[in-house]
Order: sequence, then structure tokens, then C-alpha cells
Amino acid sequence: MSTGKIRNFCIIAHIDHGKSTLADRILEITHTIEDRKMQEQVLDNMDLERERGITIKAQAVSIDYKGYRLNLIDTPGHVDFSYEVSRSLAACEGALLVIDAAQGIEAQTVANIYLALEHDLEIIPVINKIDLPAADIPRVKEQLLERGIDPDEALLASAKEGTGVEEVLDAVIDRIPAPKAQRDGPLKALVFDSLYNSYQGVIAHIRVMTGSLSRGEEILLMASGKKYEVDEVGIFTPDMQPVSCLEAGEVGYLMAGIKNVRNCKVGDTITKISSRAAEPLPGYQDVKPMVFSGLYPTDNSDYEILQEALEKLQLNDAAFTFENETSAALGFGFRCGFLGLLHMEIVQERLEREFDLELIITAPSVVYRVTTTEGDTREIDNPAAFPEVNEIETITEPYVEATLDLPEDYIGSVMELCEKSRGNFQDMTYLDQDRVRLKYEMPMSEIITDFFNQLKSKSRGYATLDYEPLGYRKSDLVKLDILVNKERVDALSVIVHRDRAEEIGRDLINRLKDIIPRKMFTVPLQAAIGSNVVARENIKARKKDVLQKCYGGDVSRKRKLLEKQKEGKKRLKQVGDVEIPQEAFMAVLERGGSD
Amino acid sequence: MSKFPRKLLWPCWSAVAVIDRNQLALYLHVPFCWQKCSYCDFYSRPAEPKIVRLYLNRLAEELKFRGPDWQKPVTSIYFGGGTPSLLSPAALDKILQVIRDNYRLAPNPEITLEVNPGDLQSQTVLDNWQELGINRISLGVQSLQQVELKLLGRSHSVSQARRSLAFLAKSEYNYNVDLISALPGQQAEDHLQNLVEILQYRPRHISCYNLQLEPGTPLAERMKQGLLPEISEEEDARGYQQTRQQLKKQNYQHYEISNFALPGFKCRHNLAYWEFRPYAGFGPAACSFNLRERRKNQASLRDYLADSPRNPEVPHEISRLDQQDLKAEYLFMGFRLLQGIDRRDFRSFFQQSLADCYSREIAGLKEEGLLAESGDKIYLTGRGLLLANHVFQAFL
Repeated sequence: MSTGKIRNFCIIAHIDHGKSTLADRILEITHTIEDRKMQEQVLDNMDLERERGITIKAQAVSIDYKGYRLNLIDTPGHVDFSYEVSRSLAACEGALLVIDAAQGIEAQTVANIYLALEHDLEIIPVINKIDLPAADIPRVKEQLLERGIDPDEALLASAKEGTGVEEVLDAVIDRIPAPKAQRDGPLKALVFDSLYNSYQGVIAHIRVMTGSLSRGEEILLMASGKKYEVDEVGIFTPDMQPVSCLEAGEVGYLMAGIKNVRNCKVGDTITKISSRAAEPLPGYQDVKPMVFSGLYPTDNSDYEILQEALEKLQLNDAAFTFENETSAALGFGFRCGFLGLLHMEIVQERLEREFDLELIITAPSVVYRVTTTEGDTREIDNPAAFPEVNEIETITEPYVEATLDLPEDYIGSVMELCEKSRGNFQDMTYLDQDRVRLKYEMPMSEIITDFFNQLKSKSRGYATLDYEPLGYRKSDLVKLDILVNKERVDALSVIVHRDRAEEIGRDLINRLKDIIPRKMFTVPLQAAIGSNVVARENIKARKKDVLQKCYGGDVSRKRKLLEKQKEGKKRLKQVGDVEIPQEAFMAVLERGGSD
Repeated sequence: MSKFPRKLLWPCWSAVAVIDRNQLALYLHVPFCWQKCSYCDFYSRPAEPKIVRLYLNRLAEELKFRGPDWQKPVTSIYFGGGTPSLLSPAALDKILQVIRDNYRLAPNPEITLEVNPGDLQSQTVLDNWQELGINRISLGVQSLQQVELKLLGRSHSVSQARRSLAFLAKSEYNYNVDLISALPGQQAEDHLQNLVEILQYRPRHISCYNLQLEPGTPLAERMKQGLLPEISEEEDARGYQQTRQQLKKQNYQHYEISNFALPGFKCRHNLAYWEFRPYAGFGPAACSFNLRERRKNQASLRDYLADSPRNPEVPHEISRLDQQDLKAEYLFMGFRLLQGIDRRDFRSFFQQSLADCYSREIAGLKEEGLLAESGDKIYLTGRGLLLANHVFQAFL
């Protein structure tokens, strides 16, 4: 296909603004997928994604329409995956900006608009859900104008009802430029996604920028330095369909017997060994996990199964890291690194679903930098590994700039939440008559508590959050230890600001008291900083626990009930004489949830 | 002329070293109810006359067919349910006749009928039962507070319960009263109030069971949805202690975790379960134990009736217990008795000493103050009675 007939585009939208529905309609109208094969939201092909209504991994599809080849690249819609978004955008010349006619433009969308503009993408605004009674088209147009986008260019659509979808496709052809692509010259292909399956190995999703790529050629991945021979190239229709050659401007996939996504990371540049490109494409980053937590099998004998499961997951997830860790309380496990909380939840769910593992996951932590009195600086991603108080000279922690968009009615309560989360107020601007943008500088560690949930509850779900790293800053932090039955449970330790340590300790102990099952004896709970106990409570002893009537001599049934009760205790993590349920390890996330 | 002696006087049961297991307890399950109680997950269905007739024929068949397997002297017969008191005297008579014809009865067997208070509203009814040889009544009062009866979904009213208690108190019947405690929101005092009133009728035997929330029952569902106040462990424990004190003062012997009897009136039938004696159960869902294996008839009445009359055997499952399971069951049933278990009986039954099997567990539980020992007896302490599950689980 000649370059002039190719259009590469993506869809930018906030969660629930209708991105997937629009994509589905496009596939339907262009007969890319037969109706009977049509499954709601075809592009999100992981169960998890469909359940959560979000796209975790990018997907691509080639659409033939009116003699043109339209390559739609779907992008992840969550802040944890912003690097992957940027690589998807780099593979496109244009973007559909889908806005919910009733909701207006949200903070995260704005961040992506700027990202799209940075990549010189042609933006086509699509005001979606115009069928909704609450649709407010003039308001959305005003918001567009405020962001420097010509509102007259906006298209109106209802993806749900199928109206306006053809106009959207025509605009893609008319307004988005064809790729500026040199077909001769050395190959440069951008990896914008990389997936692994056990049958085919790694499938790299690529956009050829210059040159061309065919089966049998020898390639080099410029960042990883790995070399392979190409087994297959092809396009997504959306099933994988092999082609003889992918040329500059085209979007498709590549298979080359690559065994691990680490060797073919998102953002890497593919070139040919025979005619190497002088420089890779710009923008590659080795994404590093921001959030760490411990994963432990509930049953210690599952350790090896967990290790295998983590290895398998890692094959498909270059951003996920793990290494061995030992906890005095929990035994052998792994310290795992994630891009953010959503990423962590996804990994956890996949482990439990796909590998049928019961896990204890400790509260997530950021990476602290601790300078000791000896003068050396250590990076510490596990509160349990903090040096003793007298060995610490200074502690720095990662800060982010948080951008919060919300209706003005909730300013008071959201600001209060941000202050409580150690936020430094930076700026407040009105986005329109009743929508406000707040900017705060905040410790990342506060964001990974239940900040997001509280934000949603304080704004009745209307506030949105986006954040960007700001680097490390010095903070007066202390390690708060939790003692259960007078034993320190290292996996429950948490790093908090000194001024709030006591309050958080009290609140935490109070909640743990109800979470940890009662024992035959009274179990004291304490929160301590060093040897200084700042809060204490008792878990009351069990008072009565007796199986009742044995109807008609069904003794075996009684035995089974007793066995089940006994088994139930085993499923919890045994720490000393006390069983601690998973909930307890997450309780530290909920800060002052009582209000 | 009564076919059984009208009054029963058996020797006061005394603690013997080795339990006599050459005797048999018979259980008959009557799977019909006027209405289903909200807490009950035991098998029952409405009593349609035609179905009841089919059931009675099938039960007779089963009793005859299985008779040759169970030729130990029958020391107790127990009609449980369901609601056995809704069977007519003629029906009960027919069953007893089949038993007499096919089983060896010991002298003066205990014959118990579980009775719903609503079914005992005249002296005539009581006379009829006595005439049949039924010499023990177990009255399902459960509570004497209308609110609680309603919560439990019982079909009888408080005034019906009082009326039936009055008939029994006037008679010379050996009778038990069932009470349920630890209801949602119930305070120890509410339960005590029930107990104090019951004591005015001077039953020979009182069973105080905790409400057990069986998954799937309407009551358990409502609890799960948070529609009812919580069941307080503290109130339950307090109520239990007060019940013990109150009954002790009134000369009742606390002989099993949930059971109290005036001297000489322990329930011989239920003792078979706790003492690990053989028993044979008939009717749908009924269980049997021959000291080696357990048998459970299929629960559904439809299946129970299905193959009749071509096949005299009713559908059932047999589970053969290994030594480990047998020991666990022996112990958790035996420890329910306040006198506990006897090392000599354990040794005679298992050909192994208790110390060889469980010395570590027993030492640990003694350490925790849950078990105590005296001579050859090992028994639950006061604290052990409250936390018995912990003791039982140690032997699983």
C-alpha cells in the first residue's frame, strides 16, 4: 500500500468516555469484524480489562476503508501506564480526542492532549454520548477552546447508537496526514507494545518509521542489544495476518523467536544488522517500578509455585520486577516492583486467577533514599529494611505534582484531604464556570495509600487525579512498627511522617483489632516508633466456641465442620501464635478512614 | 393394655470404666414439618397424607430389611425430625410393632418422641402416646417469648408451649424441654427468663442449645445481609454460665455440654452418640454407626421412596472410618460429656493407649487450662466447656 493511503491514529479518552465503544463501532461499520464475531469491546482482550472497562495493554488493528488503510492503535487509559501511552502516540500521526458530552474534559485527558500535541499529532475532537439527556455540547466546546483546540472542528457522535461514526472515519482520512516515511534508507521501527505467549514467544507491535522489514531478515534491538532473525511479520485485522513485508508508515507485528519481553521493550528501536540505523528513535526510557510490595504465599509450601508464576508473568510485563525477600513474620517471599497501584492489583489478580495462588501482599511502599550517619546513601523499598533510628542522618522520598480536577463544590473537602496527605498547595485555576483544577506537590507515598478512594468519596466520584514525578525531597519520616502479641510483625511496618505517626498508629491499631481473629487468649496490639509505644489496644479473648447439637447422630458432619473451622485458620498467615489475614496487611493503606 | 411398661425406672447411670457397647440405639427420622423453621437445614417436607402413607410403608420395609444386621439389644428408640408428633398414634404404633417384630428389645427401653408444642394441646394426645409405650417426650419449646419464636420461624405460639408444658407437668411423664439460646440480639437475661419459667414446670431434662447458623437457611441469610443484630459471644458465654448455676441450684446435673438432667433422667439415647455406642437410623437422612463405619441414608424423601417396593434397600452412603477418624470422633463426642473420657475405655476400644496417640495434644490442652485429669478420666474444664471446639480440633 502506498504511504499516501495510510493513516495511523489513536484514540485519547478518559475512562468511560466511550473509547472502546467507538472502536467497536468503527470495526463494525468497516466490516473489519463480522457482526457475529463481534464481542463488546473487542480490543480489550484480557478478561481483566473487560471487567474493569479499561485498556491495560495497547492493541492495534488495521482497517480497510474507502481504499485507505487506517491503523488504529489503542492506548492504555491509566496514569500507571503513561510511558506506554507516549510510545503509542509516537507511532501515530493523529488522534481522536473522545470527550463525554456530559462529563466534559477530564484531567487525565488533558494530560494526554498535551502529550499528543508534543508528538505533533493532528487532533480530531469527537464529542461523544450526545444522546445523553445531560449532554452539554456548548460547554465541551468552550473547554476545547480553553485548551487551544478549535471547537468548530469537533465532530458529534454517539458511539453507542452508531451516529456520527462515518464522519469520524472520513475525518481520519481527510485531516490526519499520511505518514512522512522514507521507504528507502535503514530500517527504524518503533516497538509500541510487546506481548508474550507461550506458543509464539514475544509478539512485538511495531510502527515502521523508515525502511522496510521482511521475513528472514536479521534484526537488532538497539536498546537491548539483542539480535534475532525475523520469523514473521504481519498486520492485525484484528487477528494476526502474515504479510511479506512491512514498509515505512505501516503498523503491524513482528515475531522473531524472542523469549522474553525484556529483550524487546516498549520504546525500543528495531533496525537491520545488514544496514544499521545510525541512531535509535528518540524517547526510549527504561521504565522503573515506582511502587514496591512483598508477595508471600499464604502456605509456605507454595513458594516455588509462586516463583514460577512470577517468572511467567515477567515474560509478559517488562515493567514488573521481583527479587527474593525474607520476612521474619511471613517467611520466604518476593519483593515486587510495580508502576503503580493499578499495576500491582493487576499482577495480584492474575496470580490468583491464573495460578490459583493464595497470597499475602504487604502494603505498597515507595523507594526511600536514606543517608546514614556513616555517610552512605541507600535506596530502600521495604519499611522493614529501614536502618535503626540512630543510624539515619536524612531521609528523602519521591514527590509528585498532583493535578486534581473537580467540581468547585468539593474544593474544601478535597483540599483538606490533600493537606492531610502532606500536600503543598501550588495553584488553583478555574477550568470553566464550575470546574476547578488544583495542583499540589505531594509525597508519592501518600498517593499510594487510599488517597484515590478518599478523593473519589469526598467528591462523589467527580474528581480526577493525575500525577507526575518531581524527584526526591527531604522529609521528617519515621518507621512505625506494629507489635502483635508483643512481637514485631515486620511486614506491618510503615513509614510515616513524624507529626502524624501517633495518630496513624492509633487508627491502625484500632482497625487491626477488628481484623485479626480473636484467640483463646488476649492479644495485645501496639504501635511503636523504635522502643517508644505510641498506641495500644487489646484483641479480646474468645469467650465461647462450641459446636452445637448433633442431629440424629450425624457425627461425620460435625467432624467436617470442625475440620473446616480448623482449615479456615490455616488459610491465614500464622505469625507466632496469632493468625493474620490479608486484610491486615492492607489496613495500613487506609489512613484515618474513620472520618 | 400397654405393650410397654408405663413407668420407667432404670438404675441411675454410673460411670463405669469400660462402656458396654453390646446394645443398640434406634433412631427414626420423620421428615415432615408443618412449616420450616428459619434456622433449620435438616431434611423435611410438608406432610401430605398420601406421601406420609408411602413413607410409613417404606420405613417398615427398611426396618425389616436391615433388622438382621442389628441384633444387639435395643435400649432406646428415638423418633426425631422433622416433626414426629404429627404422625397419628396408629402410625407410631405400626412403626413400633415392626421394631418389636424385627429387633431384640432390652427390658424397659427408653422410647422418646420429639414433640412440637402445637401438637400437644389435649390430655388425650398425651394419653395416646403413653398407651403406645412412648415413655419420654422431648418438647421443642425453644423459647417462651413470642418475638424469639417468630425470629426462629417456629409454627407454635408461646401460649401453645405453656399449655403443652402444663399437660406434661401434670402427668408423670419423663420429658425434656429444648431451649435455644444465643439468638441475634439476645441478652443473657432474655435466655435466663425463658429458663426460669421452664423450671416452674420441673421437666426431668433440659437441653440448652446455641442457635447454630447453618449456611443457606433463611436466618443465616438475613444475618449475612446484616438485617439482624449480632450474636454476642460475650452474652452467650455469660448466659451459659448463668444457666449452669441456675440449674445446679435446682438439682439438675450438668452432664453434657448442652444437657442437664434430674438424677436418673439422662437421655439414654443421646448418650449412645457421646459414648460411642452403636446406633441404627432409619428414614431419609438418618445416620447409623456400627463402630467401624458410618452410614447415611440419602436425604431426599423422593429418593427414599423411589425404588420401593422392588428394592428393599434404601439409597445410602457408607463411609468407612480409618483409625484416625474414629479416634477423633470418639474424642470429640466423648469430651462433650462432663465426666469426660476414660483412658481404660479408650484402650479397650482402640487397643492402644490414649497417651500413645495424643499425649502431646493433651498436655498442651491441659497447659491451656482446657482439659483436666483425675485418675483415668480426662475431661473439659469450665473454660474448656466454653472453648470446646479448640479442644476438639486438637485431635483432628
